[in-house]
Amino acid sequence: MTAPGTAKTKGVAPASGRHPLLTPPARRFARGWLALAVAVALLPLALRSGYQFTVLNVVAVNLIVVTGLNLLMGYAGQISYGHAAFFGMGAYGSAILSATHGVDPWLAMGVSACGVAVAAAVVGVPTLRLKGNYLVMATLGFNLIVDVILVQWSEVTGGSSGFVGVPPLSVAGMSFDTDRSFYWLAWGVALLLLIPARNLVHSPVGRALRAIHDSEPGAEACGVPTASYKVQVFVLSAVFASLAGSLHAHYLGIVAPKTFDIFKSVEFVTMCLIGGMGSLWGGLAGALLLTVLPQMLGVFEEHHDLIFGAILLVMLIFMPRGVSPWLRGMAGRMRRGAGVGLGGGGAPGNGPEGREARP
Amino acid sequence: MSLLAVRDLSVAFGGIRALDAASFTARAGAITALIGPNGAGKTTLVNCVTGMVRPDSGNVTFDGRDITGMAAHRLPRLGLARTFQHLRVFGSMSLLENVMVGLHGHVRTGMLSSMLRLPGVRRTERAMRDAALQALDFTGLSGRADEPAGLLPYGDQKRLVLARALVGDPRMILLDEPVAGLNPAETHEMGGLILALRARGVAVLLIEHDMSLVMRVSDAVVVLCSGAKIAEGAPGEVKRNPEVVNAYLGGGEEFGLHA
Amino acid sequence: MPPDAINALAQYTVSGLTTGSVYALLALGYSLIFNATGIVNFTQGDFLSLGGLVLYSLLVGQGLPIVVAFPATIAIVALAGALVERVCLRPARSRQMIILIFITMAASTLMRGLMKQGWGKLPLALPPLSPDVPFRLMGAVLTPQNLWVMGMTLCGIAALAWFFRATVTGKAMRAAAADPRTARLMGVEVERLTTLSFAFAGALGALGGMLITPITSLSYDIGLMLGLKGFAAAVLGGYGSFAGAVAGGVLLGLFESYGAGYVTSAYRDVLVFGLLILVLFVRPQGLFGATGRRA
Repeated sequence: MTAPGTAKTKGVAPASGRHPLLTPPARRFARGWLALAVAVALLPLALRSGYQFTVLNVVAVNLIVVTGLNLLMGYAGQISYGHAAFFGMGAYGSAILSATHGVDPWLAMGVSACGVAVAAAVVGVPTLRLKGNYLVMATLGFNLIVDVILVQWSEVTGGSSGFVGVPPLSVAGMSFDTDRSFYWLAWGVALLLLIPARNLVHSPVGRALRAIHDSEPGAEACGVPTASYKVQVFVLSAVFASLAGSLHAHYLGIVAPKTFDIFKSVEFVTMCLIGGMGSLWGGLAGALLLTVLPQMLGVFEEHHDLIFGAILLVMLIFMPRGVSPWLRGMAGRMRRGAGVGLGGGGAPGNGPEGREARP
Repeated sequence: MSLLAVRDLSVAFGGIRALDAASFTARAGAITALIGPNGAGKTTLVNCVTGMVRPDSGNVTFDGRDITGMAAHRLPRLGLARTFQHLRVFGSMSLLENVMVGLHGHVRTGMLSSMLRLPGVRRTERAMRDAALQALDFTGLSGRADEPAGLLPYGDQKRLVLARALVGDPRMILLDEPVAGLNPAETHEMGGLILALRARGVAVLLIEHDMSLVMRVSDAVVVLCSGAKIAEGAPGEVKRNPEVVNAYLGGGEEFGLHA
Repeated sequence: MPPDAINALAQYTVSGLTTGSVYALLALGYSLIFNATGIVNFTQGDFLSLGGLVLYSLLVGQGLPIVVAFPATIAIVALAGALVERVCLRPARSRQMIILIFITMAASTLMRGLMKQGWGKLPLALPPLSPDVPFRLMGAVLTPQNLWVMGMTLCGIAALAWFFRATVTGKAMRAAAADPRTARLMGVEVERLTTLSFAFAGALGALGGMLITPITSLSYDIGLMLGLKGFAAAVLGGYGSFAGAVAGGVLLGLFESYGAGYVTSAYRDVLVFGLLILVLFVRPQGLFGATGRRA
């Protein structure tokens, strides 16, 4: 044991430089991010049909939602089955502001995101005090309410048949109204938003969020304002969902309530889970897998539920940590084998694991 | 000079009086032990001091400041840190990260500046890391800084939570049963750490059942029984106090057997 | 009050009690599984759909008499419930709560897929338990099925209460719910009881399905919204409490019926889930839930 008084700790002390400052994960993320950016840039060369672009565009939009949701669920450990509502509020906000009121689409997107932030704070403050099944129910209930309003308030939202005529986003006269042009916008935004998410994860605040996941009283006693942080990250993830929703609306030109029901929320959560919670790259894997897979299953229209449910069930039973540990292993092998940093496997942060159903 | 002062604290849960006008003080730089048979109200008292339970009446002052009912996360910044009987280790994180969270009350970076990774965030991060390593060093855990805390043996986890509490350089640490579940060797070592804390000028409020430890390290002992203080003084006096002996015998517990 | 208003009130009360009964049955199913495993089971609503569909096949397809088809359906769906636990949850590699909840969601999707395969997508017509002769009672028009729903629900609840109070297995289940570790040490086979809880939840769902689908309609996804309302009822009453489940179900059914009748029919679900969220804000543990319960 150390002799008393030899290692006097002074609050926040000057650097000693014995341990490198979290550089390996930071460098890994930078490499992975660059690899993804290159892949995004080169992929159009290999794509032939507009349909393939459509699918990838949906992947990008979903990735934005999942990135935000991962901060809330994977890092802070709070469940939300209501994010499709925020996705929908972003989409309808953009649609109504730009089509009905003639607001510039970019401004509409920003205003909607601000509105969603306020709504998320109002919902989050009381809701996030709840735990377990109560939190599940409250977020589900919120989504159901928003869903009913989107359907019933038809003079504003267009009702169950949807809202048509949403103008596309455009920059300097170039409008993102085709599958190809929107591809660049959607993936640009998705890539861009990964950076602040990653920064947050590797900051004192990100660490505090993981501490909340592991032990809320423990975090509180360490000086983490747990209630406020939970609401803040909830709002942040809602804003991510809102931005994605706006992109979705301006891309398709039409929004329909069916896209924002609780099943969509469940789908978002599934993407986080399948990818591996608490891993931003896992989110990418989840968004990709769960967007492309149903498209492929679309061939079996009638058997969609059956096949999708079975695949999901088997994955959850046998791969509860999602595909990210597997990806990490593969990336590690490739690095060792080829001496090249593929990077994609380096998951930022250790995903919190093993919280039991029974306390 | 008293650092922590508890005055006339009363709490009732559904008709049961857990605390009945309990008062005591703890001096700066000293080790004050809070003891009492099971059900004496120690846990409730701790919860009142640490902002987990709001008392029905009475108040708690720390360093001359009223902290009654103050949110728990504001206390570390005022210089009052704590550990838990049930540890509350952040199991998915490394030892180093655990201790770095212990500094959270002192950092001033918000969510937005963290996302933008402003230079201040990086500086803070580096400083937190160094302070955390020193705290781990103090508890003899610096060699395992990067190991996951969840896999640490129980005895080491107890030292880890101590490092997490002391990293913010508090004026007082509240230790909730720091040696419960430890073997005699580990208990002895923990006693040494507690004395080392005092040598650094940190006051300790020790809630503990292990009387030999209490007698060994304490400067003052406060005895709680049925929600009220029944004795207060130096360890030797308290041990001979007939009322205390009676309370413990009445409670069916063996007091001072190992002392 | 004018006679019309009294009639309307009576009518709303009858329909509220009817759907409330079914919510109560579902809420009991949720509570049973929560007490056994600590999770919310999203296949509860599918047990209801399956109950209606199996009864349809036995009655209409096989031509069995109702006295045979009714208990047979309960047995079959109870078996399905046990299967969900044995096949989906028991082999799960993770004990993480969110994973287990999601497994039940995936199982629910799979069940809906299977039911769509077996019975098709079109709504079916399940005959009521006794000939449909409406009659008047205190201004409300009742069908015998309304009485069947309420009566059979009461019987179901009474049987469940008797089981938990009077039988050894029932007492063991209560012990296991209160403290699984100690119960296991005392020789209670907690695993077997967990399967049994799922079987009971299946039976309760089947009962609700057989009673309500002659009134609503019968299709593979009828249990979706009903299941969510049952979940809401369980949460409203205090998750895990049996008395709370029954009270929550009846209250939610009445509130929904009055809300739809007097306030707005289009936004009835907004009222229901809005009420639920409001209650949770004021009482995070539900109306009848004790504080400090594991939830």
